[in-house]
This record gives sequence, structure tokens and C-alpha cells, in this order.
Amino acid sequence: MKAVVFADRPGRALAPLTDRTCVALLPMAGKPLVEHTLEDLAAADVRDLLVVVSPHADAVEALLGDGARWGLRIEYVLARGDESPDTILGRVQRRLEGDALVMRGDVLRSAVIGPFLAQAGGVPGDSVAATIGGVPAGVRLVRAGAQLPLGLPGDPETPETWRERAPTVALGDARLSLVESFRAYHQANVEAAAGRYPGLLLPGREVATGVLVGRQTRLAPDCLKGTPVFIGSRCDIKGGAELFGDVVISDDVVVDQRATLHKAVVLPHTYVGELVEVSDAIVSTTHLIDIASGAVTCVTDAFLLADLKTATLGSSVGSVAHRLGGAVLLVLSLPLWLPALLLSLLRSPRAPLRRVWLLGNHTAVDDDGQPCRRRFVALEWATRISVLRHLPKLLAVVHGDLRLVGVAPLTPAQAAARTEEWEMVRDAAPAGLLGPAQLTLRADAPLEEHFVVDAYYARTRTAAGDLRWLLRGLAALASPRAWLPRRDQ
Amino acid sequence: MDQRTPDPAQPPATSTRATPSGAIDEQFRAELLRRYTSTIGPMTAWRRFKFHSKRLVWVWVVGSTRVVKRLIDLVGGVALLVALSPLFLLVIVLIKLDSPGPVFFKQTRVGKWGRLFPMYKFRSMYIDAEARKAALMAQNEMAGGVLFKMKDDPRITRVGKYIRRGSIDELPQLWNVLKGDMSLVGPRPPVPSEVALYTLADRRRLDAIPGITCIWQVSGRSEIPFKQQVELDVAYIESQSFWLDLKLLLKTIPAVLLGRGAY
Repeated sequence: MKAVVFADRPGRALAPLTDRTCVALLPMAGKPLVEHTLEDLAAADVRDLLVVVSPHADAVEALLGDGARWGLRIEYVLARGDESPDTILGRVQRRLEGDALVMRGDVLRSAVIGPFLAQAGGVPGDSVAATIGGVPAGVRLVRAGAQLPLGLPGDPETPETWRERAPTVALGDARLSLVESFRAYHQANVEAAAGRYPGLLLPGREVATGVLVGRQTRLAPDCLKGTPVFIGSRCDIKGGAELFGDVVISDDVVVDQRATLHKAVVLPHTYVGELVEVSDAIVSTTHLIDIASGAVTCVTDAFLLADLKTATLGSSVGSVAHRLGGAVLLVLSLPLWLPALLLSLLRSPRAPLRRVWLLGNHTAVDDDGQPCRRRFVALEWATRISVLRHLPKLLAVVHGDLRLVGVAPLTPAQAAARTEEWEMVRDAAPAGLLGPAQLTLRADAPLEEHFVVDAYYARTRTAAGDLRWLLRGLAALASPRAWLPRRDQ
Repeated sequence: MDQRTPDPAQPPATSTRATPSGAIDEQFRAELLRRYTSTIGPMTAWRRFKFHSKRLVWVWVVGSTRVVKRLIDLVGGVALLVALSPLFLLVIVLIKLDSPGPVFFKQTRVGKWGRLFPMYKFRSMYIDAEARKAALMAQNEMAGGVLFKMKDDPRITRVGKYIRRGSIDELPQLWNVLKGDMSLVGPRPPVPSEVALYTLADRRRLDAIPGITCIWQVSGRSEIPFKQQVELDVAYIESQSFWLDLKLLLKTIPAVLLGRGAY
């Protein structure tokens, strides 16, 4: 028997949790949600899977691989946009030999597949579905040669499409969460971590009754003030922090001294600062989501909440490092300034140095009182050799207007001419001297292409990645292309 | 499922909410306030630096454990290969003289997360050993049934008997360590036919890079029943650290020299 696992739910109701991931990959009691479904399948000895992926397909495939980790054989099906489950099932029907188990991989259930298959065997019809507490559980048996369409339920986030039309089997003592809202996600996490979803395999070791702790996690023992508490791998819970009951902390989280957590779900790579109190809430890097009201607060102060993955070289340490690096490069580049001056004088004796207005990393306040990027004067030598021409921009790096690595700085006119929303994504990253757009694109590439490359960089940048681009930029100095005169733009 | 219904299985609510109070906390609050009110000056820069470095340290501590483990594997692997090279030469000559067939024996094993890799050993059995395994399966002495092991196995060569007793046949796995398939310390890699019989709970021992030695080799080796071996492996994976690795490596030496449990 093959299983078709739908892991294609974008989870719009769960934004901003799903800004950088999809529902199937959201952490649920220490594991990505879809893993619980895979483990249920493996436990029931259903080994051949077709996983339907759509948003963040690459991340899902990177996590699940070929399924060898669970003893499964996984193949992938890419769903296009908002294709209905029926259409997708029709597309893959030829690849299913015999009966198929069609299920959603982005909802949470206790282990049900074994009992369901046993009960569904006696029910006639093309398709038999499971319900838990009267709600469709997103598990169905589709018999060989079934007539499509079957009228499969749509997105669990919209109750009007989440309906069951096939004969059903009620699974009495099983548990289900559709993870359709912040509240449901929060509750499912807390209850699953407390072991109230029978049959789920929870990672970690039990250090005290009701306290599960993952690998390489440092936990000061005086932090525990209540149970149940679940802490993922590689966390640091500093002494003096207080964990009251119903706390689920994902991997790679730092909770600083005197922070208090109660009925809280903390997502990966979050820093919870000193004296911060989180209660009845989900914390996701810089977002604090209140469960009672559903209000999402974005915290920009790194003392309170921060993203450990992107902000470890935070604004202050990062910018100091970039400015120091700029100063070092400036000193090293001094021997080049004389030839640059001479070549520029040869080409344009009147104005060897050109002035360009660019938008930098310092902030200013515009006419409407909104913060915006402050413009600054960047200097360029009037030579056609690109390495020499951009030498004076190192001064802007030392001054902090540019970073060593970042998106290419725009002129005020270029920035104002942008209209599409995706073109603004690049603004999340600082402007820099070197970067993917500056190093990989040809000088005459259209501006849109720059924006695409910059947007990708802005969403995926890391400190280690920046270092790689810097090294790549330095390595490019050795290439002849950098030293050959280039056509003027 | 009404989300407001209190769950009877829920433990008694912890109603004692923390109210950070007392003189120390007042001091602490004042310190925090200072952070926000003063925005310029060397002291602020110093505080900011301390704050960010505190976070960075943890990121590095976490990130370095993998690098450190790999470094130990590389350094230790090379050192052991060099130190043991005379022994290797001797064993190679002996195996060649003792029975026909290649010196090294390549077996497919299951690595981290179910990835297959070829594991190297000195050949200690006759070349038709795998074919004779089925006939001998009836005499399996291993409790739990997943592993196949027996004493006085007729498939083992004369030299094989000695190198097995001293665990010398395992030494070519140092090459696997250098290649990165294995580590010096880690759960022993099983063969695919064993893994096919694993339950999901047993599969947890595939969560780490397999190694040459681990807790149960050190404590009692082959005599431990399979169920307990899995528990020990999982316990190791959950608590792995630099010091634990070092301790296990050192404990391996007497275990090997005394030949405890190997056959």
C-alpha cells in the first residue's frame, strides 16, 4: 500500500509563523509537524510514500530526503499553486498500485493509522475516511480503481471546505488538532509535549517527571517551577529564568536570566531577553503572538526578543565588525590610490573624483515622519577599471553608510521608481560594497535582475554567508576581469 | 473538541505566578532602564558588546561541538593509523598466509539516519561465510533475535579468531572515520537486515554518526541483550559531549586489552 501525504499547506492563518516555512515544517513538540505523520506511517508499516509539496518544497525535501531515516521510501509530487487535493490525486493516480492511504501531513493526530486500517477494511466503497470527535481527521483509504473526483476536503484552515463526503470510521479515543489557528497550534504543542497525544514519539530525555530535555541543552535546575516542560536541543536556559508549567521550547533557543515563561511556545532560534515575561503566547524570533487576542507584536529591541540565526552579529556588533574590516581594507588598499588618481586624471583631468548620491544604512526621518535610509555622497574615481573606481567607497564603509557585504546601494531615484512589493524585500538587508548582485551579475544586467538576486539574499543571509561573499569578493580581485577597463554605464 | 474545556489529565495548575520582587530585582530593573535611557557613550557600547557577545558565545558553543567531534576523529584517526601501522602490516601478512581471499572485508552498514555506507574490516572468515550464515541461523545464540552472533563459529579462520579476540579486525574502520562515515565514538553501525527488523523506537540509535566504540562495548560488549543496547545507545546520543567521548575512548583500551565479551 502506498500513502499520499499532503504537506502543501501554506498556512496563511498562521503568518508570521509561516513567513519562512510551511505548516508541515512548523515545530510540534520538538519535531517538524510532518515527522509525526511519517512516524505513524512507519509504525503501521506503510513504507512507500508520495509526499505532495508546494510552498518551501526544497526545505521539505531537504528534511525528509529519501525517507531512509524512518525506513521509508519517499517520492515527491510538486503541487502547483492552489491545486485542489482531488486534482493532485488524479495526477498521481497512475503511480498508486492498489489501495492508497491519502492523508494530510500538516495536522497533528495521535497514532491512528494502524487502528484506522483495521477498521476501514470492513467498510465498503471507493473511499473510507476517518473522523476524530466528529471532525475529518485527514486520513482516508482510497481503494484501487476508485472513481475520481472523491471530493476531498480542502484546506483545514477554512471550515467550509474541511468537510467529509465519504463513508467514515470514527476513531474513538484518538486525538486531533488541525493546527488551523494560533490558539490551536499553541494548544496542540503544549498537549503533545505533555504526552497527551498517545503514540507520538517525543525526542529528548526525561530529567524529572514531566520535564523533557533535548541534546546539548544547558538547563539550570532552579529554573523549573512547574510541569510539564519540554525543551528542545541546543538550548541555553540561564540560571534565574523561571519556567512555569505548559512550556514548549523548540531547538536553538536562549532564555536569559529572570525571563519567565508560562503557557508559552517558543519557536527555534529565538532569544528571550532578561526580565521578559511570556504568558499564554507564542514567541517566534522577533514576534510575540498573544493567544487570547491573536495580536501579533513585532519586537525590534534585541534586548527583549531576537532572532539568533540572523541577528547574532546584530546591528551593533555587526556594523562595528564591518567598519573595522572596511578600515583594514582601506589601509591595505592605499598603494592603489596613487595609480587610481593618475588613471583618473588621464581620463578626466578636470574631475578625477565623481560624486554619486546613494541610499546608505544610516536612518533618517522623511517628511511623513517615517524612518528611511539616509542618502550619502559616495565618491568614485573616474577610471574604467572597476576595482580602482570603487576604491573610495571604502570610506563609506568605514563611515558606516555601507557594509562590506550587502545589497547594492540604490540611488534615491532608483529606490523611488520601485512599485512592486517584491522589489522592496531587498530593503530588509543592509546596503553593502560587495554582495551577490555586485559579484555575480554583469554590469549591464537589468535592474529587475538585481532586485531578484538581492531579494533572495535579503531573505537568506547569515553571518557565515556574508563571510563567504566577502572572501569571494577578495578572491575576485585576483581575476583579470576586475582589472580590465570596462565600458562606462 | 472544545479548546476551552479543561483537560482532566492536566496536572494541577501552577497558580504561583512569578512576581519578580525584592531588592535585587529593583537593582536589576534599574540596570535595564539604564540600558534604554543612555544611548551614547563608551559604557553603552561596552554593555551592548557584552550583551551580543553573550548570545554569540552560545551560538559558538553549540556550533563548535560538531566541529570539535570531527576534529578529534581526524586527529585521533590519523594518529592511531600511524601508531598501529606495524601491526597492520603484520596482520595483512598473516591473513594472506592463512587463507585465500582478500585482506579487507567490505560490508554494507547503516549510518546516520539510515544512510548506507561500506564498512571495512580485516577478513576474519572464509570467503563463503555469508552463504553459510543461513544454514547456521538455527543455532543463533543472541537474545532478542535481531543480531546474529554465536560462539565457536565454524566460518572463522585461525587468524580471524585471534584478531577478533583482540578486536583488531575492527581497526580498518579508522579509514571510515577519516572518510566521515563513522566517528571514533558512537553507536555501532548495524547491517541493513537488522535495521529492517527495527521498530521506530529502535531506530533512534541511527540518529547519530555511528562509531567504533560506544557505551556497551565498554561496559559489557556482546553480552548485553539487544533492547538494553538500544537504550544505552540512545542514552549516549542524548548526552553526547566532548568529555563523555574522551572517557569512553579511554575506557575502550582496557576493555579491548582484557578482551571482555568479544568472540
